[in-house]
Amino acid sequence: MTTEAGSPQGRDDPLAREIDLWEGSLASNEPHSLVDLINRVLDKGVVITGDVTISVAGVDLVYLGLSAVLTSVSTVRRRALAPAGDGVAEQAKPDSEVE
Amino acid sequence: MITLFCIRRAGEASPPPGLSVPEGGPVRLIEAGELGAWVCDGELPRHLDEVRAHDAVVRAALRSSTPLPVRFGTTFADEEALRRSLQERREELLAGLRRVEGKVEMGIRVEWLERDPRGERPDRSTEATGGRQYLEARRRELMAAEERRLRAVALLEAVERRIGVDAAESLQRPLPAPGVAGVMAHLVQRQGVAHYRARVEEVRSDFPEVTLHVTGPWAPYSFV
Repeated sequence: MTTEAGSPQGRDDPLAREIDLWEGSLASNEPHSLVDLINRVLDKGVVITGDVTISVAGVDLVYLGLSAVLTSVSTVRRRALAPAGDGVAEQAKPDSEVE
Repeated sequence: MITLFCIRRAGEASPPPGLSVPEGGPVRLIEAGELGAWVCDGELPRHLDEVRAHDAVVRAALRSSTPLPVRFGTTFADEEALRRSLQERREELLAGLRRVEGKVEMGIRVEWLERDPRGERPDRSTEATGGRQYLEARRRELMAAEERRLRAVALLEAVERRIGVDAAESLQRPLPAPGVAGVMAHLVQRQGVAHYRARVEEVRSDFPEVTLHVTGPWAPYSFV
């Protein structure tokens, strides 16, 4: 059976409420939420060796991987407050929380 | 080129209509045997907006059942290349899905309230006076750093013990950054998130030297 991803177990699903709450927190750009997000999305998760190519400003950084082109936490915080459109990968600093 | 967001079992919920990524278009399902992949066409720019969008797609999947989140920036030349890759790692991916089934990841970020000397330049104005003073100062620095590390490890363990939550699994990382005693990730039952959060609230006052920031529910990024 296929259900719609948005409403799996009806409106009373406690997890759905928790996720709604969490999305509100992410939307408010709290620095610790954002740092945790970056650390997970860029540094964790399943790594599938497909045709992974990390390209920054036209330069392919295949071996270096994402963590090497990551911005510093302080830059992320700054950018969280800046208008959308700036890249996180524009500055690489060694003090990134991601290793 | 297609971009991969997360992996689930075939036959599970498809991306909800209207779920799309800026610069990537609609999110759609590709099935490969027992596995299903949420993808979009093209390659996403490496920007913070797209990092957020990636997580939002994974979270949309998490709402119906727990997926394996894929690291940001994973792309394939075409559907065939993706299917081949999934088939090659079929056993491993199915085992991963079994491991996280019915669970979500929660995080706690433990931040010191006091000033953190890490990251600050020590005062070495006297170091020119000789190698011996320098070495002694250096030794004191290293001892202080080790003391701080041990303190952080003990603190994380104490927090976890006090929360006493029925976390199927946990990961601790002490001192990830200046000002931070540590980050923890817990694999929690999907229905246990409110209880987890309540437990953290209850133990908060037991640790006046730090602030506990709870994050999540996440897809199990740290456990795949």
